[in-house]
Parts: sequence; structure tokens; C-alpha cells
Amino acid sequence: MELCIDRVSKIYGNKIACDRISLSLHKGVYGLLGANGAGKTTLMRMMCGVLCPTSGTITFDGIDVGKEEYRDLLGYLPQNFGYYPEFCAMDFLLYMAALKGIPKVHAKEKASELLELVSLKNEAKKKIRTFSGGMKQRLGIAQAMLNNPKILILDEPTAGLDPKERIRFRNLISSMSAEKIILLSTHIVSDVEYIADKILLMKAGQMIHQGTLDEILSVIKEKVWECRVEKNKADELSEKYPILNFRNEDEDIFLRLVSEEKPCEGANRTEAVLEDLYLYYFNELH
Amino acid sequence: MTDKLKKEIKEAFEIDSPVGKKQFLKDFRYPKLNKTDFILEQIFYIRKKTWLFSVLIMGFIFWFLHFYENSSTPNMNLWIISSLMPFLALIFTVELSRSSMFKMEEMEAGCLFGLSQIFLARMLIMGIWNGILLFIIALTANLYLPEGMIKIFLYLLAPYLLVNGLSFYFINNKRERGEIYSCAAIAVMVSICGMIMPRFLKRYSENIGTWVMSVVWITGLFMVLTQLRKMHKKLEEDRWNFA
Ligand SMILES: Nc1ncnc2c1ncn2[C@@H]1O[C@H](COP(=O)(O)OP(=O)(O)OP(=O)(O)O)[C@@H](O)[C@H]1O
Ligand SMILES: [Mg+2]
Repeated sequence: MELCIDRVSKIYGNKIACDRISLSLHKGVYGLLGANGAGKTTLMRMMCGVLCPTSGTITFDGIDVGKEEYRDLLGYLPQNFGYYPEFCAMDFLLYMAALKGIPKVHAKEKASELLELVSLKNEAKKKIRTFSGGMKQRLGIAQAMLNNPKILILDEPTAGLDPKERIRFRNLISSMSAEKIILLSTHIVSDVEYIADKILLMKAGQMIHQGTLDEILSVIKEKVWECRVEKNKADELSEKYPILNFRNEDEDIFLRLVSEEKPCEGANRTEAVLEDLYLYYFNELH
Repeated sequence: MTDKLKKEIKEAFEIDSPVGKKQFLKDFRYPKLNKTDFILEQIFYIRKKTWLFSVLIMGFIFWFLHFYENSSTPNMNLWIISSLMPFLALIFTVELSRSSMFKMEEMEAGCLFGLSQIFLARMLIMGIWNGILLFIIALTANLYLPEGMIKIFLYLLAPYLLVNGLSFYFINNKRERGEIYSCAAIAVMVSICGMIMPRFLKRYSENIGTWVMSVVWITGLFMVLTQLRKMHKKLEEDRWNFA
């Protein structure tokens, strides 16, 4: 089971949204991180056969993305989606099931099973227009899993979910990771930290890093420092080093920064977390 | 045979409980719907409103034919029925562009039966349905009007084709999601033209209306065919383009 992305680019006018991305995905959970406009959605759309790459190929075990066979194995949650206002949650899932070619008998069973999983069982007969943002999102997640897909691509699935539902979602994803390729993008760094086996970092259309959490953190390992300094000193330090966190504390300023060696007197080395790395790459502060 | 022996035999032949039954059932891939089943199932997803409105238009035409005498202006009643056809075409277009109106395109495009096939299914269902309606309207009109079947078909189809052709053009060349408003505007405009035309044409010969309709008919048909080809190509090759 291998999803192979080979030198895929997407160009809009003179804007390169994805720049020669090559990846090879196997069973497991992949977390795609990147700032707004990094090209996450563009990449995922191309991986779903919804958008044509300007160049490059995407195949799953030799099956091209453009093929029906590929779409049969795919579950996709777009970042933004609407719904037909006259549908209730159940109608919606049955409609999507029909598009996925699932016969009615199986569809009903599967739909109620999924509604239970995303805790919308009691809302099954309610019109979607009465749903909150998070409920709609959960319905979208359920929809993606209707056909028991081998490739599950979720664009910001946790957007709008409350903490309880987010944890439920994490568990759901983890329970499925043994048999599927799951790719999810998010801005919530902790989601990725908990469930992703591998992390992909995108910046300005390029894949700048990929690996397990430890591999990826090794970039700034032993290089994260915390200190409390005066205002003047803080300005001086922020000129010199990438700043991860910045907080006023009484007279002083608390700083968390990245540096090869000890940046100043009284600075303490601390454990690096994914959030640090994310800020290190994507923060415009430095 | 003693009970003990029976029991032992039974135990000896007992098969182990199945391993991974649950997993098997989960992974079991039942045969998927074929295209015909898919299209048939889509009939139930055409909105009730759509059926209702088109039947209402037909009902109105029956009512009109029944209660209105032929007026002095030549072909006046036929012109009036004809100017209701743009709304039938509009209903068709609205149903077709439902995915884009409600932002379902992307989700639908990622399914086994992708956007092009949903489009095709709706096109087929609505095409056949409108064909039936047009046929019934024409047959009924023939009972009330003196013009004859050929002329009736000409007058009914010309504005219908024109509005559909223009609507498809707007769908193909849409910039934002507002294409449906353009289609509605076109339908209203063509309809009004149809209402005004006979009074305007009265000054000329009686046959001029038929000539106008023939030209509109041919233009409309040409537009529908070219735009449909374009639409098909776009859906098959380029895949959907998201704004
Ligand atoms: N249809 C389009 N036409 C022109 N430019 C586009 C189009 N879609 C995306 N872009 C550009 O491509 C780049 C990548 O966009 P993309 O939506 O993939 O970002 P993203 O990583 O998903 O961001 P976000 O976190 O905000 O969802 C952006 O700079 C965007 O402006
Ligand atoms: Mg995005």
C-alpha cells in the first residue's frame, strides 16, 4: 500500500501554490502542518483528484488519481463545504453513500454506525441548516468514512470541534490508522503531536521537512532557551535570535527563543515541543 | 453410545470460532452500484420543488389554453405559451447547478461517481422529464390552437433552447457562484421578448414570427450543443475548477 506523489506542482498564474512535491505515504497517520497559504489545501485537492496538477503524477499502487478506481478507495473532507439545505443528517449521508456507489441496504447501516461514532445519533433526523459549525464538521468527517476508504484525506478536520469531540476524533483516527493511509492538515499543533506518526511541514508551496516527531524536533533540539530580561535586552535579543514566545511580566520580559549557545546570563535550556518548531519556521517575528 | 462418547465426538469435531470475523465483515467489499442504478437513484434526489414548479407551469398553460379565446393578433396564444418556456428551462438549469450553488462540488467530486457523472445523471433525468412535459404541452396545445403540430413545436422549443443555451454558456464561463442570477435574468428577458414580439411583428407579414422563431430555434440548438460539448470536455478532462 503506497501512495506515491511524484514531483507534483500547481501553478496559479504566476503564483506557485505547490512546488515539485514528492512524497511516499504508507499506512499510518500523517499530519500536514503549514501557515495560511502554504499550499496544504492545494496539495490535498490534487491528491483527491479534484484538482489537476500543473505537472507531476499521483498514484496509489499504480492507480492514477484521475481514475474511478482511485476515487473508490478515497475518503475526502474538504476544508470548506456546503450542504443541500433540505437534507437532514441521515439524508446527507445516504446521498453521499449513493455517490460512492454504496447500495442502499449497506448505506443505511453504515450511516447510522458513523453517526454514532461522531456523536450525532440524536441529530440524525434534524435538518443540517440547524446544525452548529462543529456538528457540520463532524458530519463531514462521517461522510468521508462511509466507503471504508483506504486513503483518508481530511483538510482541517478538527476546525470548530470542542475539546471533547477533538479527543474523540483523535481516538477515532488512531483506531483506524493500522489499515489506512490517513493525511490530515491542521493548525492545531497538539492534534498532530498526539495522533500523527509522521509530520509533514509545508512552507510557501514546498515540503520543507518530513519525519517522526523526534526526527523533526531534532532541528531545534537543545536549542530552545527561556529567560527573563529587561526591555532593552529583550529588544537586542529579538534582533539576534528567532523568538518563540514573548510575554510581559511586571517590569521584565519573558522570552522563549532559539539559539545555538546560551543567549544571555540566566537563560535556561528547555525541552523543545512541536509548537516551537512550528513557530520557528512560520513565525514572522524573526 | 454413551453420553460421554457423544460429547467427546462433538468436541473433536467442533470448529474453532472464526478469527477476525469482525475485521472481515468490515473489509468486505460488496459490489458497488453500476451506472444505471446510480442514475435511477439520483431521480429521488431531484428536489420536489423542481417537479412541482414544472408541473405548475404545465398546469398554467392548460388553464390558459382552456379559458382564453384566440385573439385577433395572429399566433398570439401560441406566443404566450411559448414565452412561458424560458421558465421551464430555468428550472432545468437551477437543478443542474445545485452543486455549485450549495458548495457541494468539491465533496461530490471526490466520490466514486464524480461531479461529471452527477451532472450527467441530472441532465438525463431533467432532459427526459422536460421532454415529456414539452410533448404533453404540445399535444394539448394542438387541440386548442389552429397552428398545427410543427409550428407549435417550433414556438415551444425555440425559447426553451435559447435560454438553456445561454444558461449553459454562463455555467461554463462562470466567474463566481452568481451564475444562477444571470440565468434567471436571461429567462425573464427572453420571456418578456416573447410577450412583446407579436405586437411588434403585427405590422409586418403574418409569417415573420415563424421566421424569427426558426432563427432562434437554430441558434438555440447550436448553442446548447456547443456548450454541452464544452461542459463535457471540462468535466472530463480539466476536472472541476474551484474559484
Ligand atoms: N483558485 C486559486 N486561484 C489562485 N490562487 C490560488 C487558488 N487557490 C489557492 N491559491 C493560492 O495558492 C496558495 C496556497 O493556497 P492553499 O489554499 O493551498 O493554502 P493552505 O495551506 O490550505 O492555507 P490555509 O491554512 O489558509 O487553509 C495561496 O497563496 C493561495 O492564494
Ligand atoms: Mg487550506
